[in-house]
Amino acid sequence: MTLDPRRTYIDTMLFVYQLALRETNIKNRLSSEFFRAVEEGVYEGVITTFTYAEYIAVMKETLSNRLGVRLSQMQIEELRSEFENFVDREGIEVLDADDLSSGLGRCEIFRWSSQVVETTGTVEGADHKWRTIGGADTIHVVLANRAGAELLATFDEGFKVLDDLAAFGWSLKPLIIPEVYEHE
Amino acid sequence: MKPNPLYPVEKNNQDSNVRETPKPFENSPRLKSKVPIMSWDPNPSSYLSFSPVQRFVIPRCPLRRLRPWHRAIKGTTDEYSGRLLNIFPELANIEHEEIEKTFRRMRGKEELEL
Repeated sequence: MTLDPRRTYIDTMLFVYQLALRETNIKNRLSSEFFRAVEEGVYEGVITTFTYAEYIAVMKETLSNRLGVRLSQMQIEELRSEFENFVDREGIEVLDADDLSSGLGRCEIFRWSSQVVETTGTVEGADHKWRTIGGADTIHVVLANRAGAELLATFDEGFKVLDDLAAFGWSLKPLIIPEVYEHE
Repeated sequence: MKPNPLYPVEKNNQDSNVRETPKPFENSPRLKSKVPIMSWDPNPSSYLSFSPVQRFVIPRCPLRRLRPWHRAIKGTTDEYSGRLLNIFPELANIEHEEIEKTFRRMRGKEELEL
């Protein structure tokens, strides 16, 4: 029996770890486990143009610190091209973040984000630090909801607070990558 | 009063760092307008918190796909694992903690180093 793939919004860091870390790094291995599952049709990946913006920002700063120079337009173009090719070949759906934050009728992306903050609590991480989700995280949560995602794949334990939204009729659930794959 | 000699100023701008006697502050005439500032506040008791909700549903919107979902090309994950290291060898010895720190700062979650 083949199960339908679960529609999954993919957090930016999975792309950064997959593309920019060597294969011996634990975070790269965990990201690869997830993307292999995407390949096998376990998950139907979805991202937005906002994901790409975050990826470019993280990579620009990381690389500039390494190289000690401002990146050239050609280097930025290479970062973009590798990301886009990977997303294309992995079969991941790309949505326009502007569409998801506008669309028909009144769109209250910041009010919805505030409501996500208000209706979720905090969770204790593996390191015994208490975490929650904040500004940019909640915008991703709202975009994932608007994109019709069932899961949000991330390394950030703070997203476990999404379970609190079930009480308010939400079906979006966290998929915390280190918890899913670490012990396999 | 002479300009501070340690402060470089252009020749034609010698007065720019001369201390002046402060004048009493006055609002600009535009701010003296009698037109009241209007705000839309349906709940004057609190505009930041929401009334308790039983259900919190975000309406769905039409999805315009820039790239539609399709089945992946087998082997892509392994092919692209660490691929940027081929283009930027400077990333060879980078650890995830360094990237994570940048990312956490960008998401406004930077932890203070005490």
